[in-house]
Amino acid sequence: MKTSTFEGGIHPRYNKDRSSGEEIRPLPAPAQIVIPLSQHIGAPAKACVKKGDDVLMGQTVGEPGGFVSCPVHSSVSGTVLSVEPRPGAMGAPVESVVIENDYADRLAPMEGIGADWESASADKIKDAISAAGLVGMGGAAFPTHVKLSPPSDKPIDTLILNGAECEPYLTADHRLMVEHSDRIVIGMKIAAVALGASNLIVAVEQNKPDAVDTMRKATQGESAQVMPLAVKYPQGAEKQTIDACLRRQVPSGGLPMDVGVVVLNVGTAAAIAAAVIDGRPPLERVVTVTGAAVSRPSNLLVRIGTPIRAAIDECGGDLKRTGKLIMGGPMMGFSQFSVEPPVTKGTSGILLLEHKEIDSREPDPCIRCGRCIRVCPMKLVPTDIAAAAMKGTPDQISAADVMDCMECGSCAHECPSRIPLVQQIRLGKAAVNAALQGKG
Amino acid sequence: MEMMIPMFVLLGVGLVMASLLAVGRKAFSVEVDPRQERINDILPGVNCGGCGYPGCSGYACALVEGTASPTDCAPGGADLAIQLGEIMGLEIELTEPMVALIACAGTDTASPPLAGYIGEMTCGAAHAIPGAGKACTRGCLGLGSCIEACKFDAIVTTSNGLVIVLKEACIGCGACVDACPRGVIKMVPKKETVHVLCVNPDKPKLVKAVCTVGCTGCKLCVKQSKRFEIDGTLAHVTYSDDAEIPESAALACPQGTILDSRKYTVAAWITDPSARKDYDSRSTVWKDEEKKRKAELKKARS
Repeated sequence: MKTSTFEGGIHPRYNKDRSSGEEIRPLPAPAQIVIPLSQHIGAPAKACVKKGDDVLMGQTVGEPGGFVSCPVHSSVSGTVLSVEPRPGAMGAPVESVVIENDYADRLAPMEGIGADWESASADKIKDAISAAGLVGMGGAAFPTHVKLSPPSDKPIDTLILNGAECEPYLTADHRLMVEHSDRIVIGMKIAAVALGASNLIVAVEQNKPDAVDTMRKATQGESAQVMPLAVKYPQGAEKQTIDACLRRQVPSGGLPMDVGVVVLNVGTAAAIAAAVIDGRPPLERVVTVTGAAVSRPSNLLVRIGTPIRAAIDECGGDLKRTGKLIMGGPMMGFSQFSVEPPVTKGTSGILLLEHKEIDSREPDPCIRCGRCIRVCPMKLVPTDIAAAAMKGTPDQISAADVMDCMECGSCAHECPSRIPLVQQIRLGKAAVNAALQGKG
Repeated sequence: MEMMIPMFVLLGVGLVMASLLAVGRKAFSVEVDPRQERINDILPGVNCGGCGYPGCSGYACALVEGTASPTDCAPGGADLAIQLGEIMGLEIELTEPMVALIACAGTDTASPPLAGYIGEMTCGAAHAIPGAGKACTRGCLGLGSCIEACKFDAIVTTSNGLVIVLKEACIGCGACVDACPRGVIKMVPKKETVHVLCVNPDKPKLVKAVCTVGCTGCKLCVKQSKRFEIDGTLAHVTYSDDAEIPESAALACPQGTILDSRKYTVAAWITDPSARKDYDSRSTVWKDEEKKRKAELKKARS
């Protein structure tokens, strides 16, 4: 099978075997749900319910706080206990709506466009997606309606569905493609109507042959094309997927729309189908719970707002053996210090890594081997950026192209001295942003 | 004879160059205030930057221009200020010598870390990550960014996750104050002996949840001495006043946040549990105060 890919990248141990064969099963809703008002990039939502209110499943509990923002919905029916800061996935407390579940699952009235979405206008589709509060389900959680609304001077010709899932351990998108390929394809066609894109591509890493097969079957008779991509990290990063599929390079500081492309995660596509046809907001998502400290690795359908403790207990996770608890993938996810944070729209995995799976040795000095430069998928020089970030002025840091770094972690993974390059680069970005804000 | 030619040529070239240099020195000489050279000679030459000018020569230049004050050099201290004043012909008003104070007593045991931290071992990096370091998000991280900033080796780490200032070595340049991402370091007069070692302005409940030695703003110290002031729920010592602080003040603190360095050095107080025995089996000063306060409250209510 001929495969395309990008330059650079790494080959980490994937460790997907333990959960890739597990069918998606629902996790029972917990007694208490915590819906963070900020589950997306952009302005946080504003709470529109108060303590004591009765809410229905699917009811809006937070109104969007701007254009680049999203509404949030209750994933259960019950009573609002409080609106207060609760521990979030990023470590800092996040303003959240806490709801007590009455286990009745009383659905809020939902109005979708219905089966005749093909005749609906692009604006109507975008409105439905915006009202459902859809965000990128791959992890970055960028509001989908913003992605689907490029300025008129940037026509979109290609829509790529991203099923690469290059992060080690995670199998949520894989299982979704195997089990719900039909919904993904419908979502893709709806998004194509909203964008006016004619060229449709489904990009899947070829280490998921069953997903390639089901997606090929599901797209038979459609104009869409399934492209198997080489197995390499970060193959699923937007710019790298576009490079591999179309040989188009997104300019520095630009977005995929600058080269006429929009990339959507397969999970987002499935959620688009539900949001547009049924008017149903994303109330649950597929989360991979795995790692050596988990006895029953699983792909769970989890209600948004479920504390990760519930998912860990369900899969037999042993916190005593856990050396590192991560929400998301091991490369770009967030380490946790408690089991309180809730699953949000962008949580693709919960990993309980054993001590043997993590390297906690102290960093050594840089030996100038240049491995980080060779693997950088953005063709940056991580050593220079990190040196500028730790010792340089904001001008020197920007001169090293720090803002082009997408923090994929390839450099830090490859570094034989275990230098925390990504952390240093993030500090550099913060310094540059602070200097920019200082200038006004 | 032939071998003499190059010798004479070189000698000639040398003479021409030397005379050019001599003429050049006169023609292009830069006039320097003779005072600047004298000042440069007596400055400490450590280039600490505490005065705000680029190194000692930059300070000398600014002094002669009249933009800097002779008292700005912290490492030189009073002796140097007097000498500089003599050179500049200025009347010197001596300022109080200052030292840095790490206003945090939250050791690893007082404010235990929530989780392990693997990564860049600087305070700025750890501060940017919620959950890294100790439970208290306001206090000293103990990773020693201030140690790196200190040019006088006046700050050292303790074995239990804090840093302390060696008062004798600190010259009061203030470089560590800027290096601390959490604003834990304060400049205090060198002669002061009693300090409140906490900068956490959070509500008492939150402070108690993350640290056993944090200030809760209970105001018992204020009753012992007028030198203490409460700002919100955080006590601090006012340094503008000269009144003696009684030894009972530190003992009155139920949290053990107040350090009295007439009795203990900072190092002993923070690192050696036995040094704090007095504080733990505290003479019942604060308990008495508590009783009195509760009785007053009861009276007021009835």
